[in-house]
This record gives sequence, structure tokens and C-alpha cells, in this order.
Amino acid sequence: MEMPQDGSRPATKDGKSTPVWRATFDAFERPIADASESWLQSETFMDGLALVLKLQRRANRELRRGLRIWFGAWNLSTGSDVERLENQIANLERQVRQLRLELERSSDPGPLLASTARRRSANRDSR
Amino acid sequence: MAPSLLERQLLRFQNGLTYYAGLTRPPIGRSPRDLVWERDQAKLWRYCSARRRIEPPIVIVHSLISKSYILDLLPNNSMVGFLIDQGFDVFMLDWEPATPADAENTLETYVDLYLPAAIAATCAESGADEVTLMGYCYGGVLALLLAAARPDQPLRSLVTLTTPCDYSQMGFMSQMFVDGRLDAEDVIDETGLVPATVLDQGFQSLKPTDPIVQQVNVWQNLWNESWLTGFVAMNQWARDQNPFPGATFRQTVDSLIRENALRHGVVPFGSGEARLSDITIPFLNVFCRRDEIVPPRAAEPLVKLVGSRDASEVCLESGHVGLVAGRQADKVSRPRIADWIRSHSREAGGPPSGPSAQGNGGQQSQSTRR
Repeated sequence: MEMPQDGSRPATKDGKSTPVWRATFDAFERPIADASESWLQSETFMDGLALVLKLQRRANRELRRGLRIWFGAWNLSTGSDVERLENQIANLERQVRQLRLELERSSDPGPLLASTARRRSANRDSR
Repeated sequence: MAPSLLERQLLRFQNGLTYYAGLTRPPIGRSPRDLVWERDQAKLWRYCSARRRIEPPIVIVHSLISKSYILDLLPNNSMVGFLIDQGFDVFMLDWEPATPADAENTLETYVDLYLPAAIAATCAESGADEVTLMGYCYGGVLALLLAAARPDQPLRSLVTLTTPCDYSQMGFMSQMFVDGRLDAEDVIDETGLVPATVLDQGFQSLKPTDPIVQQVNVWQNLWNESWLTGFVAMNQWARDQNPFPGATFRQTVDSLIRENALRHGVVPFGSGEARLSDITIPFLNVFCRRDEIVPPRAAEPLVKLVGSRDASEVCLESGHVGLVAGRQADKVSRPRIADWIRSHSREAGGPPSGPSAQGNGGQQSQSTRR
């Protein structure tokens, strides 16, 4: 029996090598899989899921807002404070990137190679 | 020789211990390579080879969503390894997981900034004056936009692998955003990124019974170490997504999903638009009949939308991942793709090779427009 390298089911030349328990499982699973995949594609399911996701997001936002107020009253930091800091750092990084880009373009209108080229090797010992 | 029943049970016990303890560590992404260029999260790798004899080099543009080691999964199951063995000079434009600083990256950032710079770096590194551009999945979208919007780029030919075009055929994940069921903002987090977990949940929900089936497959094949290694590698990749930049995601939802812009052949891009009909270089579109993520109906229209006189398509009997890793990949897709690229390349120091990839094989189909 040939074994695939990709984690798929092994190839069988005939049906005899499939164990009975496996054939039984497949007989139950396939109709369930088909039905669940069809249900997933239905308008009803997608509308319902969208509503649940929106409500979940709204509830999460309100919870975070409440926590921020409550923790803030005790002078404690929350996850959203960390995110605010993260976003400020990200903004700074974006500005640095933009400045670097403008600097490179003003000094060399060609492709942005010189300042970014850096050589590093990986897996050198594996072949 | 197949092991006896008793041997199988012993192997099952032994492999089961390492698997369920989480100690099965497949050697993924092991082909030796050099980092030749990087900018922010973009990394350009050149794979080491002593057999480079075909020009121009291939630049693989990987998807923003998934990890690139799928193209170099295992030492005996590697798309990159196959191309190297065929004599190609292979570069990979890879994306490190997006950080909050990448949240405002748009399609234009990737197509106008990173891709041209990576192609220039490829030419500088290899000494070539043009490249073969190959995009995998969403990387194919970036490659298409580059070829359409930047005619100044030195592209010899373009290959798209399982690249979505008609988003109305993409099923559950894109349907959730059509007609305002969900907005991009509903899945973008406070740092401006679409979290990897959201993407993972989306992919996992395409086949709800798969987690159970996978465990049954594991139990059935636990005795077979090579099967188990392949399974763990593939499973690791399937759950290993990158966060997606929010600004690019908004464009994807607004233009690609809601306006279905790629299907209409005109994508709003920068201050103007990118027209697929402006792509005139040789073009190959590869898609798969059993692809659940990018169904064939979603990828198929591309060949009719580009302006290339030499535009071909290959439809393979595999799934999204089976195209690049697995039995089908080894026997069919990799050779077909390599043949097409070779036929649009040249031996180092020689003239371009003649076409050699026009035949049909097995259940696959290929059509060519010249």
C-alpha cells in the first residue's frame, strides 16, 4: 500500500484494504459532512452567524470599555491600554518607514535596494 | 514489505506516544536558502543550488495569509526542491506575519513598493534582466496586479497558482461579506489587523467534520511514520495563518469581493485602475478541481481576462494544497508547471526553449490561447 506524504488517506488498490470500522465511519460521516457543508452555505446560517459575530464584537467592546473605566478608577492598566501603546508605536514605525522611503527616493530614484539588502543564510547544513 | 498486524500495533503505540505528546516534529522548510533582500515584513530568499541552468529566475510571490513553508514542506515533498532539481534559480518573496505597523498597508504598498523592489533585487542578485513571476493563492492576486499595473517591470512570464478571480464563486468566506452581512471592520481588531485566529476559524469552518475525520485518519495510519510526518506537517501549516493587514482587507472586501473587480478585469488601483487585459506576457493559470478554498469556478476566468496571446490554463485533480504538496503535486502538477516555465525560459547562455507543455495527461485538462 502506497503511503502519501501529505497526510491524506493512504491509497488503496482495492476496497478490501479499508477496514470495516473505517468503512462504517465513512458511511456515517459522508452524509453528515455533506449536510453540514450545505447548511453552512445556506442564507439562514450565514445571516445568523453574521448577527452572532456582530453581537459578540459589540459585547466585547462594551466589556472592554467597562473594564477600562473600572480598572482606570483604581489606576490599573488594562489590555486596551497596551493596545493603545502598541498602536502608537505602530504609528511611529509607519512614520519612520515613510521617512526612510522618501529619503531613499530622494537620494536614488531607482529600486530600493541598497539600504535594505542584507544577507542571511538558513538551513545551510541540511543539504 | 508491509508490517504484520502485531508490528503495526507496536508501531501504533510507539508513534502514538510521540504524536499525542506533541513530539512529532516534521523537518519543514529545510531547503538551504539565503536572504538576499528585506524590507519591513517582506523577505526575499534565494534557494541554494549548484544546478542552476535555466534563465530567467523564478520569483514566487507567496500569499499574505499563509506561511510559505507549504512550498518547501518536507525534504521529499517540496515544490521549491523540485524546481531547483529541474535547474531553475528559485527566489521566494515571503511575508513575515504582519504587525500593527503593517495595518495600513494597501494592495498598492505590496504591488508598487515591495514587489518591484524584490524583482530588482532578484535581477541584481542573479544577474538576470527579467524574471518569471509565480503567485500562489493571494500572492497570485498581487502578481496579477503587478503585471497589469506595472508594464515597466521586467517580467518574462506569469504563473498563477490557485488564484481567486471570481469572488462570487468563493463560497462561505466571501459570501459572509457580500451584501453587508459582515463588514471588513467586523473582523479587524483594535490593532488594525485581521487576527490569524479569525482566518483560521474561517478556513476550518469550510469543512466542519474535518477535525473528526483527521483524528480517525490518524488512528488508522498511526503505525506509518512517514504518513504521520506528512500529516503533522500539513496540519501544522493548515492551522498556521498570518494576521492580515486591515487596509488590504478593506480593499479585498470592497473591490475584490463586493465589486468582484478581478472578474470584471478592472481593479481600482492607486489613483487609477489595473486592467488584466493589459497583461500581455505569457500567462499560465493553474487551478484545482477539488479545491475547497479557491474553487475552480473562482479561478477559471483568469485566462480569458488577460490580454496575453500566449495564455494557458491547467486544471488539476487535486485540492488547494495538493497542488504544491502531495502525491498529485509530485506526479502531475510540479512537472506540468515546470514544463510550462521551461518552455518560456532558456538554458543559460542559449535561446528560449520551445513549447513543451501542451499535452494533456490523465484527468487533467489544459487549454491554450495563442
